[in-house]
Amino acid sequence: MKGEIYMEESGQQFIAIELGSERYALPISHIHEIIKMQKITVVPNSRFFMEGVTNLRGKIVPIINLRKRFSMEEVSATRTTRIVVVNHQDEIVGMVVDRVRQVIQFNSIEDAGDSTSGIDSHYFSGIGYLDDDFITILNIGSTLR
Amino acid sequence: MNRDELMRFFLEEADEQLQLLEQEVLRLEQDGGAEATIQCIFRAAHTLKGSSAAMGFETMKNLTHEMENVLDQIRGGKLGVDKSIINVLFLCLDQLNDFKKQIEDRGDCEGDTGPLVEQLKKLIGGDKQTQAPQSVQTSAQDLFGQKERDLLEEAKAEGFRGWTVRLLISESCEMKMARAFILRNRMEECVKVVAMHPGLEEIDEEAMGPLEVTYLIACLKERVDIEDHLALVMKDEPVEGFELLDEHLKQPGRTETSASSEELKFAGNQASPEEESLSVSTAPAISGSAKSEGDEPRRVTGQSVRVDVDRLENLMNLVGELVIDQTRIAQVGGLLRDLVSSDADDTMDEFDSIANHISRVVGELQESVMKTRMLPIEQLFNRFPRMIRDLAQKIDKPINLLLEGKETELDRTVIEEIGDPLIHLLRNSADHGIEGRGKRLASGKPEVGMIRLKAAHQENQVVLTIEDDGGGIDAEKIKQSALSKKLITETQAAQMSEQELIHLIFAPGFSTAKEISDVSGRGVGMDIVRSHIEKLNGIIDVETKLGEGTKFTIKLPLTLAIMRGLLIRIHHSTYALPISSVAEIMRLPRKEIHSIKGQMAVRIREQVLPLVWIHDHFNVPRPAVRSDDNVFIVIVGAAEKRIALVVDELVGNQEIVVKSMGSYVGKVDGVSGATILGDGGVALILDITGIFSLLSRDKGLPHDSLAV
Repeated sequence: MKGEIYMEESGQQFIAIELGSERYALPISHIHEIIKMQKITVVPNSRFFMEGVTNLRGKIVPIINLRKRFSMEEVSATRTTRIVVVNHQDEIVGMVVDRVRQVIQFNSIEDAGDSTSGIDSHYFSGIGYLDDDFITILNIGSTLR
Repeated sequence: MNRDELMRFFLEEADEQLQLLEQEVLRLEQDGGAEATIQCIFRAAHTLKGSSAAMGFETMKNLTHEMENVLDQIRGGKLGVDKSIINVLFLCLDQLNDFKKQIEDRGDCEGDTGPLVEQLKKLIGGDKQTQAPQSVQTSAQDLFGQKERDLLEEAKAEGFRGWTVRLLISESCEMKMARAFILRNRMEECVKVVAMHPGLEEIDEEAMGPLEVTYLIACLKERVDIEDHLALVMKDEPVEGFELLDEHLKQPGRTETSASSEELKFAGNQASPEEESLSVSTAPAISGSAKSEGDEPRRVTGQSVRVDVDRLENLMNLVGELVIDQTRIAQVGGLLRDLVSSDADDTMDEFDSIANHISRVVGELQESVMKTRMLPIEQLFNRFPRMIRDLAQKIDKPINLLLEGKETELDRTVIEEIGDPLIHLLRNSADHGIEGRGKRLASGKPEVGMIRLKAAHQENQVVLTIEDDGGGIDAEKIKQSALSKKLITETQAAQMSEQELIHLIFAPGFSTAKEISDVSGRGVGMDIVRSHIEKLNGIIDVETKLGEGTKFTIKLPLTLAIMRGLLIRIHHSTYALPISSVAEIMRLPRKEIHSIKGQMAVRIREQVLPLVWIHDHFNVPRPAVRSDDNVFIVIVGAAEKRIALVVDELVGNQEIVVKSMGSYVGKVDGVSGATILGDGGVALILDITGIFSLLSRDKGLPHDSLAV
């Protein structure tokens, strides 16, 4: 996706999210808002990682489950479960995550190209390096697809 | 004022005039040339000529010009109205409509009007006339003719007062004609403009110097108010001052004061050479008709504002939000009353009365906003007489089309969608329904066939009926035809009732016409009708009696944005069914659900209906019920089909606001959209048509077969 390969782009801010023990980063510019877990209506016969739809101030918003998307074990919602609502092709889509961490700014970012990790690199747009740590940056476009 | 804006005015006007022309030419055919009709046609053609000339559409102007010549002959009694004239006029209208469409699409029009012009000229008798505009000089006369005066007198009888407004459009203004027209429209926001001088056609764009225009207006308001309004109108316009004068009109014959002392020029192209000797006496009459163009009485009545459809859509959405919130307030109020102690009763009563008031206001608001989106179905109906006329001529069956309930109002989106189905049904009635002359006479029917198209409101729905007094539908023929087309098998056919056989006409690929004509009979008509009506959440039914006629009944919701929904529960989830598709709700013991060849069915009043557990299609478990337990059954219909749905629970019915789930969710089988419930939760709206296709697909049956 255009605009999601960030080399040496220090000004860019990210939000760190958690799925179980794994951490991912989402570019803040793509994020519409973050809401608490709320009632979701199941949509039958929809794609497998689709959780359903919810009402966000009068708008019907589709919600997907990132755990299902990455074929991880499903868990029930907890106190920290959040829905990260992201902009996606003129619409907004919510992603259920276990926890939302802090806003971060990477020292440097490496293109996804040849790095691999626990999940298919297809969903990454790169790796962000901190002083003593690194986090995989999610490619929102391919994650939702 | 840019060209785009001008273009919009032009197209709007052209649209109006063309519609008017079509109606009036039809009337001309019927009344054979009544004075009023021919005048009206003449005026409309003249207006079109003027505006197309102003916009530089030469081909269009030339054609209308030739039409005008013919019309003038008819008006002068030199030419009798006969079928050939009417046909040529219609051909001209078609050509003009085509031009208009071209202009709409690409801003210009072209086409060979030669043959049409030839035909028109032939009508007049072949004498080529010199069409150079001739100036007819009139002596100092009243600015406004008898006709305008009559209009003003009429207005006065209703309590209006007459005034004249004189203004100067500055020399620097380009397109003074358009400016004068716009000023007139703006004045009409507050006053009735009875006439203007010079008429739009007579304004010479090339003339040097500022343009003086005088408007004759009628108004109920006081002088100061009119002046205020005029000042507002003139503000920022290239107008070099205006004055509001008392009605200066004098009785005919007396000399006018101020402006009319100038010599007035009238484009005299209406007067053919041989009439020239009469021109002095006829001049006022001619000028009268020329000036009053565009002053059709209907435009003067009422005050209206054109609003962009998008704004209305937005308004509708906002009202939708309010409708939801109002339901929620009521629910929260109920909860609160249970929670607070009894000493807060007074406060709660007040809360309730406020909540009630809000729902009343919201209800009215919703209705008003819905009304702004409503249009009389007349717009659509007006297209049909011409269509039936042409068709009747082509297939040589005299047909009388009766239109009833033209004033019935419908949401504009519904009107747009229902046009095609109605055309198909009407064509079918004319082509298949009405018998040929000989057959009709032989069976003792009047020679002229009758088709009645009727619209009416029935509760929250609109009912359209198309009825003919033709031969009716022969169930046996339908059966044979369906068998030969392999739409049904022999065994299926044997099991089908007469009504079910007749419903086969809605199956894709079905047509009884032996030969394919370009009228109908391609075997697609009824299929299109059905799918359109399903799309609108409507129901279609057919009643027929062999030898006596056929009646199609279409029931449609008034609007697509807000509807009444029946809320049901299926495995912990709430779903909404459009009430308009719900035929019946009942409870039945579980054991009454039978299985016929793998298809579940129930027998309701001697009718066997296929039955569906939506649970299976939505991959949720069926509720555990014993065979003696009752299950809730909702019988729903899409177009002519009926099906029984098993639901876990009935929740109730309420207004629901239809919302799209967006393109990310995409098309979900069996679901047409979503709505927000009183508790803030989302309920999916079941798509009846979708459920029908889910059913037939999962059963491996052909998509549209009647599963019995």
